[in-house]
Amino acid sequence: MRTKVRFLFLAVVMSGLLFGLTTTGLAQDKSILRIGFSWTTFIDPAVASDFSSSSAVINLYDSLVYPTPEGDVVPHAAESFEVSTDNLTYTFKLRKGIKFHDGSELTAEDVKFTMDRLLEIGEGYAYLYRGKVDSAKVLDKYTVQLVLKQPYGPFLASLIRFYLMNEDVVMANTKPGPYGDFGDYGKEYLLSHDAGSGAYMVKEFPFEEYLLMERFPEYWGEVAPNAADEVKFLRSPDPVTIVTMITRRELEITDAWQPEESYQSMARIEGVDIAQWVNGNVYYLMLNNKRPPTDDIHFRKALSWVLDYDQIITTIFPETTQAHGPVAHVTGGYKEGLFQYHQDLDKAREELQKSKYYDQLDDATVIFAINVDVPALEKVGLLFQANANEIGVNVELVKMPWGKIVEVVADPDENPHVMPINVAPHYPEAGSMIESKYHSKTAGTWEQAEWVDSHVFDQLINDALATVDIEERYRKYGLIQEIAVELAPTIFLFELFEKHAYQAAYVDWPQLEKPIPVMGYNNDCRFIEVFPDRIP
Amino acid sequence: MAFSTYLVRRLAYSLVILVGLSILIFFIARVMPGDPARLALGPRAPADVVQRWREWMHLDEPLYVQYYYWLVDTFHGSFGQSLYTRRDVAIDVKTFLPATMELVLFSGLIMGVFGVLLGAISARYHDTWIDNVLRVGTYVGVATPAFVFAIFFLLLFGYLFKILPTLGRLESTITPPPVMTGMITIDSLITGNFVAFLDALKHLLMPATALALGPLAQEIRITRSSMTDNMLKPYIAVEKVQGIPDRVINLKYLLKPSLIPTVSIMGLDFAALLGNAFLVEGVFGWPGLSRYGIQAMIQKDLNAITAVVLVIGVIFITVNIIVDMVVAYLDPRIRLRGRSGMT
Repeated sequence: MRTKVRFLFLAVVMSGLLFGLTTTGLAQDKSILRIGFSWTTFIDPAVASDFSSSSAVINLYDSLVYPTPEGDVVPHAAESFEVSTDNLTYTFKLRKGIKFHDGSELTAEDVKFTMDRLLEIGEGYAYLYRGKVDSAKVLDKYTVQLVLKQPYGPFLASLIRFYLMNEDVVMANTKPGPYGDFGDYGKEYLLSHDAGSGAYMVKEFPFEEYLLMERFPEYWGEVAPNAADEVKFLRSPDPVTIVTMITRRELEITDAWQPEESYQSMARIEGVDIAQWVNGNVYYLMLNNKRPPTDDIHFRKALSWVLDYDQIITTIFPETTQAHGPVAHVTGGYKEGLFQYHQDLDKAREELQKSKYYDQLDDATVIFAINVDVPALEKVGLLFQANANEIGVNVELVKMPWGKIVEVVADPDENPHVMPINVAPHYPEAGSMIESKYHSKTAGTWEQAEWVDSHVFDQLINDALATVDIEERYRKYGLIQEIAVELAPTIFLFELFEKHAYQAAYVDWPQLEKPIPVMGYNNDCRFIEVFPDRIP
Repeated sequence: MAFSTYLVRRLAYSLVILVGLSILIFFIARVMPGDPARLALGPRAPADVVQRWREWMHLDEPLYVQYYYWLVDTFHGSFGQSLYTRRDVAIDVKTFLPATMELVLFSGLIMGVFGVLLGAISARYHDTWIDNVLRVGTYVGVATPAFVFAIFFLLLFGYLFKILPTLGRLESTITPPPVMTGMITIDSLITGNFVAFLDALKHLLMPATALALGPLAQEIRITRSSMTDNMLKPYIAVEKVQGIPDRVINLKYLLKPSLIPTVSIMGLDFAALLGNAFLVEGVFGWPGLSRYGIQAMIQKDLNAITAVVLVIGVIFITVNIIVDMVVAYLDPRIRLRGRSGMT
């Protein structure tokens, strides 16, 4: 009898478990858009600057201006703007009736508060305005002035990274911190809450798992009729899990960092397409211009001639295109028709003979650093080593973790001769890339391992950035790009593209037709439509 | 020496070990390459902002001064600020530890129950086809890393049959139980939320099993080996001659003493699960402490590295003390040694 009772109990438990195992969760009554990202995600506009964080704040906040696919900007939270004749004062008329997520209205006071906070904290995108913006002044409830210290040509373009915050919400949630009377300026609160007026607002944010946002019903701007009710930014798990989730329709858009074989595998799934576009990032081999032998222009040119670029863009990073200089062709101010190196061993030898190190090649070993987190770079290193050996240049490959790379580039004597790193524009203009790559103030950061440190370059860059007339500014950008190619401080490898697998069967992603070449803006989810009834 | 005295002495030793561990990891973390403030703030952060961070985190002070500040913070229940998550590491530990503990406890349960059971079966039927199958299985288990099992399960039950969830701890459509222990299965049981309990169990099944299989194979092998050794001992032969039933001999006189090496190894394996969990947490998007620890190391998040190593150290020591107590229960010689005053 006891055995029978035991058996019965076991049977009930097992069937319960089996039922639990084979049934899925409760039906979802809201449409949801789930996008994978490499983590961490910060939703405080004074901290956010990486891909997932930038994408998040674009959805949670409004900016004064909004970028266009052509690399221009149009008024957004600002209804209109005027620039003073001395190009130092920008006066913005705000749209009336823009509501923050707590229901209060966005006013000029909030704009001033946001700028003051950003300049004080100094993190995230603050470097775009620090040292350039002198003050923010409130003229009336809907009019605000941003006053510059000196003319700054790309200022309007850079304002796409200026995300407006609700002063009352931030100040009601401050804690003790390093900013004097402002405490922590609400930084801890803003780790998991938003204070914005964007089309979406934070619903849940378990920090290490996902950011769940829901539609803000009182959003003032354009929202596509079938934009998702909820948007979930997921921390991407391993590639095999991503493929499984795409197969099960548990993920609508993948992150941009999946291995090639995963993309190929996902492309075979019914209803899944691969979207890709050049996003303005450029991959470089940064040559240390301060350390022998790469401090010699002819040695650098020899290395530029020796590399087999075709191998890189066809085999190692397939489907990419070779870069023409430091700026990607989709970025505003890109100079067309720049000279482009290709592999030519004779020219490489010719340049090498002109180099002052030609007689000391045995002692002049070139150190090529490889970031251990990017396996493909080892292939680039091996190719570079083999190519350089053909003209008698010894190359030593040294693997480094990212932390070590950040440390060694800060010291020109420690910095390896060749450092493969990609750099992204922070606003849709060549000025962003040129400043990152060749201004002395960025020397020693991972964006500029070249250590160009040239007074002439600084003057040219400062002059270009201070030029308000866009055509003139672009002309000056072009000149700097020409000089950069001529001096060969860098080997310009290829233009990167952003690549995502997505559920084309039930997701309409209009930005794909004309991608905006600025990080994060193609993930503005109010334009992306989800049709659950079309799920295959 | 009484067992209680022995326990107090073990706890005192443990405290010394923890202080030593904290000093060691504190200094090792700080000699790793890379400027943590620059890594956290990015290449374009102005120098004064980076410097303010260094000062705020005492990174510009000598190492022994930094350690002093860290100790003071720790005694106040704070592990300092994380450069990776930008919040107090104590909050991070509180957030991520329950997820890993739930995973590891469930793995430990699988490892303990099936390790002993299959080991006993293997010994009972030693040198038969059952034993041979189990032994081959254990070779595979010992030789295969946890993430390979994880991917295999994912492809089988997630991709092919689609019967188990692939990511996270709970479906978004299910209301999570209120946080008490932070372990969803336990919290949902306490609050009687059986829908959440079953769903959390479904989410746990693949990662916990993948994590458990390696050590499980080891427990099977050790239990089998220990039991087959003891089978040949004279006291078993005497008990058989006395006519004691096989079931009683196997369970009471054979299995119990044979478990002593298994339990000892199980303690070490359990603690090792904490360190290995990141392999599985990455595959299943499990928001645990191990994955957090790996991220902290990549980002050179000094306070987080120190805290994670220390927390794992505390768990490791605690588990070993518990194991010692269990072994003392299983082995009368240890208890008797205590009573007779032997050390």
